[in-house]
Parts: sequence; C-alpha cells; structure tokens
Amino acid sequence: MKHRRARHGLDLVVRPERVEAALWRHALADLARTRGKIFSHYARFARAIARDRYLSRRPDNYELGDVEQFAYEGLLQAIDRFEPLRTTPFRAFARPRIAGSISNGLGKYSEVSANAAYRRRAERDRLESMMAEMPEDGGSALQQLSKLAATLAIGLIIEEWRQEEVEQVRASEPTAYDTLAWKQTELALRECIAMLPANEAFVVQQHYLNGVAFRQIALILGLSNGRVSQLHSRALGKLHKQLAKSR
Amino acid sequence: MSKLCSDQQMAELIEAIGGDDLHDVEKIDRLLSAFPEDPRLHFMKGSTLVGKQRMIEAHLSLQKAVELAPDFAVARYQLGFFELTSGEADKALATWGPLLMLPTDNYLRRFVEGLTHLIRDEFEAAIGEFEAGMAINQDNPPMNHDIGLLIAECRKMLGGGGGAPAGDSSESATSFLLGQFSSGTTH
Repeated sequence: MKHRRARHGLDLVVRPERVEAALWRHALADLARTRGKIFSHYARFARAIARDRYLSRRPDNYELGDVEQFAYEGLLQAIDRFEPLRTTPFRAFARPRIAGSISNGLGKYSEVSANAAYRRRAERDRLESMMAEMPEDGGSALQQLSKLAATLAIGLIIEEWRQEEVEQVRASEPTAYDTLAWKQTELALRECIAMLPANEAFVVQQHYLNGVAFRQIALILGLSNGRVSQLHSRALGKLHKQLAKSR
Repeated sequence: MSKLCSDQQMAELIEAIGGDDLHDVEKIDRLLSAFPEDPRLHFMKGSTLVGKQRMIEAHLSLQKAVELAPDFAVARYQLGFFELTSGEADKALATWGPLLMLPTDNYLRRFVEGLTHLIRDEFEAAIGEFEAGMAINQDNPPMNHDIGLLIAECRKMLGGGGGAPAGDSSESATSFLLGQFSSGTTH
C-alpha cells in the first residue's frame, strides 16, 4: 500500500536541487543542528545502495538491516566530510564512501557480530528502552506487560510502513474491514507522530522507518545512547496514549 | 568615493561578461572588490551563480544585495522566489513582506500576492493575482512568460491534473534584469 502524496501549489515551484542546496547552506552555518535533517534527506539514498549490495550477494549470514547500518555509517561520515561549496554533488561524493563502508563492515563481519545483528540489537534496544521507563506503581504485572506489548506493537505498525516501501508482499491479504481499520489506525498514528516534539519524532521516524540503530541516532543528534533510549520510550508512550484516546 | 560603480563601469561589465560563461563571476568579483557595497553587483553575481547551479553562493549574493538595499524590489522579489523554490516558503514570505507595501499597481506586489495564494493552494486566487500582475508588467517580459507557465500549472491543478514544475523566473529573467543594471536604478 503506497501513499501517494497529494500535489500542492508549492510543488509547482520547488526545485529539488535547491532544496538540497538550502540544507547544505544551513549546514554551513551550523552542521550539528542540521545533521538530522540532512541524514533524513539522504537516508533513502543510502538504503538503496545497501539494498543493491544485499540483493547482489544474497548472503545467508547477515541481513539487509545489517547492511543498512553500514550504509548509514558511511552516510554519516560523508555528511561530516562534505564540503558544500565544492561543485561535486553530495550523492556523487557520498556513494563511494557508503559503498566502502558497507564493504569494510561486511569484511569484518564474523559470527560474533552476527550474534549482535541489527534486528536482534534493535529489538533489545526497544525493550530495554521501554522497561527503563516503566513506572514501578504502574499496575499489576499483567497490566504492565499488556501495556508494554501494546506500546511495542505501535513500533511494529510503524515499521510495517517501511516494509511496504521495500515492496514486500504480504503473506495474506487483509479483509476489507481489516484494511479500513488498519488505514484508520495508520492515519491516526501518522497524525500523532507529526505532533511529537522534534527529537522524539526524529527517533521514531529514523528508527522505525529508516531502520537506524539507536547508537547511530545518538551520533546524528549529538546525544548519549541513554538519552535516545529515553526519547524513544517517551515517544512510544505518547503514541500509545494518543492512539488509545482516538479509538 | 561613491559606493556604487558608475553607469559606464556597469555598462562595460555587462559587455565584458556577455557570452563569457567561464570568467563572468571573476569579472563581477573584480568590480565588486572596488565597490563591495554596490547591491546591483551582488544581485548580478547572485543571478549569474544561479545559472551556474552554485546555489549556496547565489543565495548569499542575493541576500547581500537586499541587505545593502532593502528597497531594491526586483532583488527582494528574486531572493524570495529563490527561497520559495528552495522549499523555504516561510523564509520567502518574510523576505517578500516589504513588497506587500508597494502600491497595488506594482506587478511585483501582484506576483507576490499570487505566489502567497499558491503556497496556500488557493489556485483561483493565485491565477487572478498573476494575471493582474502580467497586465501591469510592461518592463519585464521574461517574468510574464514564467508567470504564464505557472498559471497553466495552476489551471491543471484546478482541473485535477498534475504537471511538471513551472519555469524558473530567477533564471530566465536574469538576462533582462542584467539589462536593467545599466540604468543604475535599484527599483
């Protein structure tokens, strides 16, 4: 299910190369504050390189998510090293760096690192993030578990949007009612994410939609891993509350 | 010593950079080093840099022109348009603000009014302002051409159709605007 964005008046005049130049113009003034926006702008580009690499190898000892993490590392390095006033376009500058980062990362890949594969690490990070913020007087163990499951499920719904982007085919088609209910939940969730504070929205979007690890989000935002974990937990908690209200 | 270069120097510069894509910025810079506070030279440099896709520097030059001469209406319009096409609608509206104080028979004001409607997806109102501006505008034909393209795109939107991004007045109007410099006016 792809979401085609309705065209607006602004779309008639906006020029992508200028939008990109404006990002770098702001980066020249303050890269630390702009890094997140720049990362979001190019994350899809980095992911496409990762996907090409993954599909060309069809490996059995690592997953696409792992290759993406290496691609994001390369992207971050490219962002920090790029000189916007030089005439080389960013994508031309970044592509070999991202590809190099993937090659280096996979070259060092071992059984040990495979045990810490992105997917497992991400799930552990999420759980730890939620557990750390659980109030001690938050009801019975069953109630707490139920809330935890519901909150983690929100992440899975958001992650599903990313899977749709990758154009994976669902195992079974939903019923008409499921589709309507699902759409309504999605719509409500998208609205709730848009209302989150900027840093919390960034964590949710990057982690679930772009598959960026907490550790890398911390680097992008210049925050500690613990702080990102806290932002994640708060964001999901707010989404859970808002969704519960809207149902 | 005047802060502005003479009409003669401006005319010589325009002649010197005509058709010289390689050294045009260099030549403007040479005159700018003698007249660093001439807004027309900064504007000329900005317009030239847009044509070379050097967008970051182009914005800086256009911004400098407006800083030096806040009443330089054409430069202010182009700076705002540049910001709009860069996806910075709020910034564009702030830049254009003073142009809304111009009389209603000023075509730049009408174009800004139209673009403001466009940002809000008010296509019919945008077309009305664009057409009014085009009717008034007798001295900048390339801009009318670009606004005409924009009107066509607005009509497609009203008809439910899509369309490619419209032309870029800051580029196609550049040659005309360069011609204006020889008059020595910033209005």
